[in-house]
Amino acid sequence: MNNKQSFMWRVQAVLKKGISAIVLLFLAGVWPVKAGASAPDWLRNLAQQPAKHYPDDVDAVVLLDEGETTVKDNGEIVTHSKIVYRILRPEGKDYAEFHVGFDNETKLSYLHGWSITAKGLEYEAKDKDAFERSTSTYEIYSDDKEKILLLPGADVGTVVGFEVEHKERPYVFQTEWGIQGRIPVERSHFTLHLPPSWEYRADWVNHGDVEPAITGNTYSWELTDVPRIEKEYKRPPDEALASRILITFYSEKIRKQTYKSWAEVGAWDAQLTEGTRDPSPALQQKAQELAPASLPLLERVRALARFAQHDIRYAAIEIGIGGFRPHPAAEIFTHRYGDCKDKATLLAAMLAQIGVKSYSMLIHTARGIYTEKSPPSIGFNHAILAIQLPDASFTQALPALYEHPKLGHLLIFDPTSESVPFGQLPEYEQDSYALLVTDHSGELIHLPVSRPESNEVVRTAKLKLSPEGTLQGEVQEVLSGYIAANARRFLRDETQKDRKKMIEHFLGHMMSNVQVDSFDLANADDIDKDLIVRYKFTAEHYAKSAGPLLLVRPRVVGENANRFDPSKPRHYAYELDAPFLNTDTVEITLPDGFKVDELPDAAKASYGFGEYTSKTEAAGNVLKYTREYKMSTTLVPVDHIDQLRKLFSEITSDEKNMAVLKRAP
Amino acid sequence: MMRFLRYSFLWFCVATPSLCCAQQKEDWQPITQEDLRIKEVPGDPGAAAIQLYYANYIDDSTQTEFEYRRIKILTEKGKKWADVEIPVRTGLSIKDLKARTIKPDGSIVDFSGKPFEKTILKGHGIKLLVKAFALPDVGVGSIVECKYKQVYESDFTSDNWVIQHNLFTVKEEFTFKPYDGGLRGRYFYEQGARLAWVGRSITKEQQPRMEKNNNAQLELHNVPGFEPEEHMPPEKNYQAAVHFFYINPEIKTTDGYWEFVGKRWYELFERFIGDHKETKQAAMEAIGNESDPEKKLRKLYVRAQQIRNLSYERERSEEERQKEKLKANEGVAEIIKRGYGDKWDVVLAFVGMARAAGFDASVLVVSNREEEFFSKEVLSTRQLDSLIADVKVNGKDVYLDPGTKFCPFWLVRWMSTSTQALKPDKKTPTFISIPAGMVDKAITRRSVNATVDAEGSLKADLVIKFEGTEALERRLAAAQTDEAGRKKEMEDEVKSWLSDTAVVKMLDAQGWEETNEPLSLHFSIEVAGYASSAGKRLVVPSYLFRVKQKDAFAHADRKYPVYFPYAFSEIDSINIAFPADRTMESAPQNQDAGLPFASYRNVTTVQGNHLVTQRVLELNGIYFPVTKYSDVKAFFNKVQAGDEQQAVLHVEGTSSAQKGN
Repeated sequence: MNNKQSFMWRVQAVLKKGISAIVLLFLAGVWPVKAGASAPDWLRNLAQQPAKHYPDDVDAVVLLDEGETTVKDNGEIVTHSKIVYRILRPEGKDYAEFHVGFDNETKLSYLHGWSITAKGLEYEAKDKDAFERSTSTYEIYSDDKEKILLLPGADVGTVVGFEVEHKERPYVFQTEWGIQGRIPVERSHFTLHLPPSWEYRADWVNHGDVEPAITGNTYSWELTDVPRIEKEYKRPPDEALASRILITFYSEKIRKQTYKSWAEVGAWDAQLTEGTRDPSPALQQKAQELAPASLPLLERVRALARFAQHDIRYAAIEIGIGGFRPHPAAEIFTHRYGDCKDKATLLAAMLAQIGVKSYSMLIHTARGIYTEKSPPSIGFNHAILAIQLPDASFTQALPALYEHPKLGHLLIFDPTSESVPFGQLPEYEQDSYALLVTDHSGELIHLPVSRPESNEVVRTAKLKLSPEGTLQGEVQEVLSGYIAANARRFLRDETQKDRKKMIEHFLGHMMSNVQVDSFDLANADDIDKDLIVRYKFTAEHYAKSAGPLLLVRPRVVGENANRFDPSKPRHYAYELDAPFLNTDTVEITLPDGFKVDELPDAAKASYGFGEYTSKTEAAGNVLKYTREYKMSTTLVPVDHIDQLRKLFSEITSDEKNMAVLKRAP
Repeated sequence: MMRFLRYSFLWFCVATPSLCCAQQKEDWQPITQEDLRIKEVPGDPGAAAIQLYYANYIDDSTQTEFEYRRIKILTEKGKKWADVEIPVRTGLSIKDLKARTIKPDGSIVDFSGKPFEKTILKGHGIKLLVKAFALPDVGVGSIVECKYKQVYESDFTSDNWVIQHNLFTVKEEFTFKPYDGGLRGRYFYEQGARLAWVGRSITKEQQPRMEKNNNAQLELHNVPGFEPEEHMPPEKNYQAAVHFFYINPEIKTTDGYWEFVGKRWYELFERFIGDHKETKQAAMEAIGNESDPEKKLRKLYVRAQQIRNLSYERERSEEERQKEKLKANEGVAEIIKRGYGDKWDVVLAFVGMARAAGFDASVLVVSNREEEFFSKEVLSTRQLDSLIADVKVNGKDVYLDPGTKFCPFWLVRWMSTSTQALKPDKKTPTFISIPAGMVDKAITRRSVNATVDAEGSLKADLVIKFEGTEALERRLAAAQTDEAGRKKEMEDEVKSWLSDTAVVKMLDAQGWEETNEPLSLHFSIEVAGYASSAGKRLVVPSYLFRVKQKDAFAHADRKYPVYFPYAFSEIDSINIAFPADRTMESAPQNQDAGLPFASYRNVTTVQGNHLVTQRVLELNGIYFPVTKYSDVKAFFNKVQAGDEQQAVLHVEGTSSAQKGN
């Protein structure tokens, strides 16, 4: 998929990991400089305006974020932007390093930057001073690049300003003006100039509508004092929270490159991918070979899905419109590699060979960016497939089944996710909105969310305690649904040595002096079955001696409480991967000569979004701990955060509780 | 004509076999049944891939380097090896690039496409690219292979054999052919150059075989993959490699090389320090009327550290330096006059002032063990990247580190300790071992006054005093941020010592800008559910903090030594008040553990309704070989068990809410 926006976090992560531009500049012994630098008056004026007060952890502030887009009648779009930052903290000096993206269709026609230090020294850098680099990350190749302009004088108090101009002839006539980010914005101003016969539609995302100031064919919007998006554990992604305007252009001249509805976005994508599903003889033959007519239809579909999922290696090559248009199915089949849309296309082509119709679906891998209110746009970053199943083709309920009023049973399948079984959806696609691309249309649909019981960890431990406090025994964990898929991602491809280290690390977090004696994985490669992890361990000093007493934490393994700083106010909802159910049964055989003297109280907490119960019992010489922890949602709204805090607090308390054993007289 | 034929014949006889040989070496290797059969890395089941063949032929005469990799994919994860990226920098081109997939049945699919060129960085005359492509038709069991030649336009090759790769390698072949132009004219020594090599972490079998024509060769089988571990010494010292280099032929031995370097540096330093009135005047002003040698030296040290140390400021462009009127110093007199310099300048200024005050002071060029352990055999001055001072005081050598900001008088920063330093000299430069910093040079003192309520929640007041290296490292980190950044860093650090539910607030900090005083920090701590309940009993941990070194001993086995940056000690005093209506049923027992280089003592007493714990942990070592791992692990297991002891409190006269059988 085209990922210019949505994979920016990945780009940034890679850039951070790589050699920084600053280091490279010094390695090269060069720095963009211009003798006699002189900042423009608009920047000087901004630098001289009184500094406002911000919390002490704000790294920098945007003094001005200004954009001016001019649409020409021939379809060329020119955007001239200025952005000005004031560096407030040493951590804010990165704002003097400006990254601006471009590709084969977007020309960067002007790039200029200045800095004015707190002492009034001025510096300047121009386009020729910039470095250029590819922003390909997960792709084998893409034409996405960026220029980096680095300004001297990046100290606290310095004001840095950049001016940039892009020229483009886009595939789709839509632009976005981003307003809100990780630092506050004092003034954001966007101006649009349209040719006389052109029209536009402005959709505000994560912000109430703001009417533009209008002068002839010029429209402008302005917001001031926009707060930053706060960093919070498990909050929705930035794009699900950040204010922005999405502007779509309309003109007879670009009728096929714009849209007014999701149906038209679907139609645009459908025409773009036309012909890519045409099969080659080899593909046809393979489809029949993998899915002979002798098999039940669902098994035939499953076989082809498995081929696309496992035998086509993920490898992305995206050039120009290739960010949206898949490669031809025949080519993907020959190479045996492709990206998400390639895999979906190949599967669609193979399904067609057995008479099963399927529809392309576009989705974002971060939930919450698309909602039922989202205006039509193509900001998706992933492609999956909706497979139309006849009535009689399946008997069991499939969690990834979507009942469409016209198209009937649509089984949503993601051939890119190699560890998610046929019939299920990856957790990041559940409860999300995706564009279903039908023959000449499309619609935004809400994908199903799995039940807690579909995503289970059933943990059973049979352990024995020695009089010295050493705990020894075996634990079995049966994992299903997304929990199994994620565990497979971590464990399946590791060596035995590394798997052991991972289990040691997991246990080491919950008990000290622990040693994994043996372990095994069952069904690691069979994604259609539950993943079973068994391990035997020995933990010295697990039970603590206290005079005649022996103190034992009956919970032993599994930490369900989440980190949550109760001292900080919460701004946003709390996001979960998907609903889940954890069930633990721990049986500890007590050492001879000891009996239970006291047991912890049972725990019970129940809220609309989740519940937790636990109980510790003594039966004969066995201490038995059972608990169940269920979360039924993907998002706990911010007005329920106090309840969530309370739930975590109750879980924490229960997980620490001790049973007291006493040596029998 | 006859003579021509004779010469042609001779050329054919001599040259053809070697050409054939070279050609053959660069051809695709035969695909053996063994290659097709292999399913697992010996001794490492589950490994993603195995390198069946690796070749690296370096030829400095033609300035080319041939590389060949054949990799078999063993798991789904191993498919990543089918995505190939070959780095290409300015002055380097790639030719004869060929790649292919060998399917499990032995059939071959050639890569017929054109590699993409991804720009890593372009501008200012620099161009770094990667040639990227994906091999076709790859699945588990496939073999992927790629070979190409790197042609260096204006310099020699990488001159480096990587013996140990990330993957287990079945067979490796290396050749190194030195420049055959007599190593004259184009090299930097007028008298020519001599080829030398040095191996890192290689066995005798992994040493290059030198041939009569000065070519080096090596063939190896079954070389394990390099798998770094956490808390291991610098990786560079453990990944097997051979480095070739050319040296001045007059230098016959490694000692000769370092003697040459030491003399050159001596000249440079002496010229830089000189004997100037400005230096003497600064020294005299700093000393004042002080007559005690050590006190005099301390005053000079303070004076040197008052020089603005540009090494701890943001790097500046030439234009910035011009505008801020910052010039490169040509000697100590200029440093004194201008009042600024980099960390080397500060050391040299200190040595200059010490000499001016009558001390026998020298400059030592010291190696940095943070990235790499020093090896005398590696003839590279890059290993020695720091300066410290060596001053004789009352007949003893005192090592001082004035170039490190905030470094106290009696301390050398940890990476310059337990390592080698070169003492430049006019006649006989020598290596000196810089002693280890002992436990008294890195102390953390924690004092806690806490209260636990009947529900088990803890509220505490924590005062930490970091001394020596512990203070220095935090001060240096803090210099990169502001007050808010320091507060967050320290709160996060303290939080990492405590339970996940702890809320930590830093209330006060003293001594961020000090050098000799401890760094003193004051926190408030709240931990909900600190004590756990068992019916009517309350179980209270007597010690709050986690063992910081726990992660180093998480695994039963270890391949490489455990390495800590510096020796340290932790001295803790914990006072926990519990509810007055609770009585102590059982208090934690005293704990002791010891090794020749480590000791631990944890003593808890009950004083009224207070649980008072005194704990001391000392680790007087930094490098623990694998043979000692079990001992050190056992020691830390005892520390952890001791730290996790709990006191049991109960309410007098009450019965349990939930009794056992």
